[in-house]
Amino acid sequence: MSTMPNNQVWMLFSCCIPVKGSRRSLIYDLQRGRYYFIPNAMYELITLYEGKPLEEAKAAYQHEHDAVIDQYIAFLFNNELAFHTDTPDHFPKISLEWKSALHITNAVIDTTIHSNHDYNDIITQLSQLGCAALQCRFYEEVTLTAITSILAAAKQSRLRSVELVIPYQQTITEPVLDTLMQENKRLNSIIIHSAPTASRQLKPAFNATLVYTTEVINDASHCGFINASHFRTNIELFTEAQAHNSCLNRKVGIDVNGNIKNCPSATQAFGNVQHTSLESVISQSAFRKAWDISKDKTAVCKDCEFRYMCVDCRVFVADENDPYSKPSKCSYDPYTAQWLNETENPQSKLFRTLETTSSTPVTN
Amino acid sequence: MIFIISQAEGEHSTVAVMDWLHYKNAHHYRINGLDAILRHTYLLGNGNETRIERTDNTDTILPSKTDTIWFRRWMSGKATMFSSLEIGGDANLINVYNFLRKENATIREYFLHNLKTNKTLGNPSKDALNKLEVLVAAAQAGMDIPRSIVTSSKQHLLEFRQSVPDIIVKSLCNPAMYSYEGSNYVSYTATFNEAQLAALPATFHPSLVQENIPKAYELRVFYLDGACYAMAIFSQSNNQTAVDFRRYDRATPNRNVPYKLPAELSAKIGRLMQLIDLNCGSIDIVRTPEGKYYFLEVNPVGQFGMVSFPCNYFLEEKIADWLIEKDQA
Repeated sequence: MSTMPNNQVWMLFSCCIPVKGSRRSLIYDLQRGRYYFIPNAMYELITLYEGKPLEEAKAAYQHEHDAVIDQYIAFLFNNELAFHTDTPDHFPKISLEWKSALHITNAVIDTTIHSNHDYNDIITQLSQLGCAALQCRFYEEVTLTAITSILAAAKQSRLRSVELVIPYQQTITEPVLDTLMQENKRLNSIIIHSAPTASRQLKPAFNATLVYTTEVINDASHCGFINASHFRTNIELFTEAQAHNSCLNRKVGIDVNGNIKNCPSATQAFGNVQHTSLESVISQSAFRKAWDISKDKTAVCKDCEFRYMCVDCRVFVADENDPYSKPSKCSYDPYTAQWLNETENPQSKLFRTLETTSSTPVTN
Repeated sequence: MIFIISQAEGEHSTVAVMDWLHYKNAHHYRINGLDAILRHTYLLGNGNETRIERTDNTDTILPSKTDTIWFRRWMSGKATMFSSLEIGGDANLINVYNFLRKENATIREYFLHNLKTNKTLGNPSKDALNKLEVLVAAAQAGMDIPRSIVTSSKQHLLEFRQSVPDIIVKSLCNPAMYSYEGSNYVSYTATFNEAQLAALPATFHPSLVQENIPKAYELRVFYLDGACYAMAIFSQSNNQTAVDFRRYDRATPNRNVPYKLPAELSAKIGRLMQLIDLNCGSIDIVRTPEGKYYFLEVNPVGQFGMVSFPCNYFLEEKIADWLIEKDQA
């Protein structure tokens, strides 16, 4: 890049956004769904000197860190996170505004053999509210007739995707499930719990996924796990998480007894779906309160570099009396940048290499 | 009431606009082009008004004079063919197919003729723009355009190339699509090298050949009634997308980021859209490494979703707002 004319400056593509954590930072590549660990010193370089001549940055650090700065810039270009331009004014930051035309974006309905849900009515109500995604979670045996009737109601609704979580049953064979997926384009995920063996199959012909898990999912406590494999680096979650809760915002849950909640695992109920409309519940400010508990307001999470890619949990929290406490099923400590059971991965190795090059903190 | 004329398949962007209309409690109704043809009966006026009725005898809902229309799309160009048709050879098959297409086109024209409103987003008579007319109009609007020639003569092409050494060839209308052994193919803009040029016969099918404009990056601009929403596409760092960004690299997609147009360029785009009588559409522009902007073409039916999402512009809501405002006016 030494041949760059003098009027060229470096900038990050605006879909690549640095986020500072306590111990290290990340660059979220929202377009390509990736993320890169960077030292906090690189975060500082980006936020202070992006869009300015490189010389200016080097001079600001009295030329004591020229080699490190060159290495950081090379890292940005090698990963296609940055580009050169002579017109930085033409490249505004991406707006972080989030909004949705759907009053409810997703819903979870829990069912046991004792549940008495009127699925047709619930799905009609969800459809009115614009709900795009529905998860139907069955803890106990369910008949094919019941599943078919739910899917038939979904077909007549504005729902765009349905996920079924059902127990392993010998009568519901894979050909039966294939037929279900083939006949219901909106059914794009089936999870079979309590299965004898685990497997995961993509069904591209049906645009669906079929997962068998040996885990026994028999009540609403099987949720709230915070895990790197659940991270999603995209603009929708990133912008939504700026001011909203990344799990509960615009969600509605119906538990096995028909209680309307922020999530079926939650304790607080806002009426029963048999005699209270979903619309009247979601318009209550008490119900919507959880929607605005963002990561920036949550203890520990607010210092975590993963805060805009992580799906929060407000039900299983460290301190039951504090709605702003950290999810209890998260084993990451942003102050040490360690997972409880961290495994060696190439990204963290690369991070350590970058970090050692800046062992002297870069300060202004 | 707001009327949306669209097609049944692959219309996520239409649905996203309807979501906003629904959210804002705006009364709207969608009719797909294919339904207008296959599911309506046209009782021609004989001294009185023509009546259009649904074939399933449910309530017929058609736009009236005071309604607002969004002409999004009509339908894919396919005519309904009966696979068992025994018509004796390819030539007859082509004739029958073209005949059915024209029959459908006549109904389409008549359906659109019966829409009496003057509040329309999109222009039903402009969903297949003439690329050549538009290029000349862009030049009239003050934009730079690539030097272009349409010819069937090798000699004329060679003469053109003496002043324009680096050339590309592209289709005059929308790209052709083919299916072969389970895969889909579509025609793309391609460069033209010395050997290919030498191999040409003296005459060939008339082709649009243009100066290859060097790209720093490309711009895709969505124009909505005077406002421009621009996105820069960094297609140059990837060989697959360097000549035609539609050759998407799905593993490592091109960088698509919001772009602020110079005011002068926005004004020229506005002039062009007025000249070709469109109040919305997508405009393709190239920015050269020297900082010059070259107009390439206009897509009159939108493609706003591919700009709206990566740039977080909420164009779907802006379109809904436009329709609501006009409908209440």
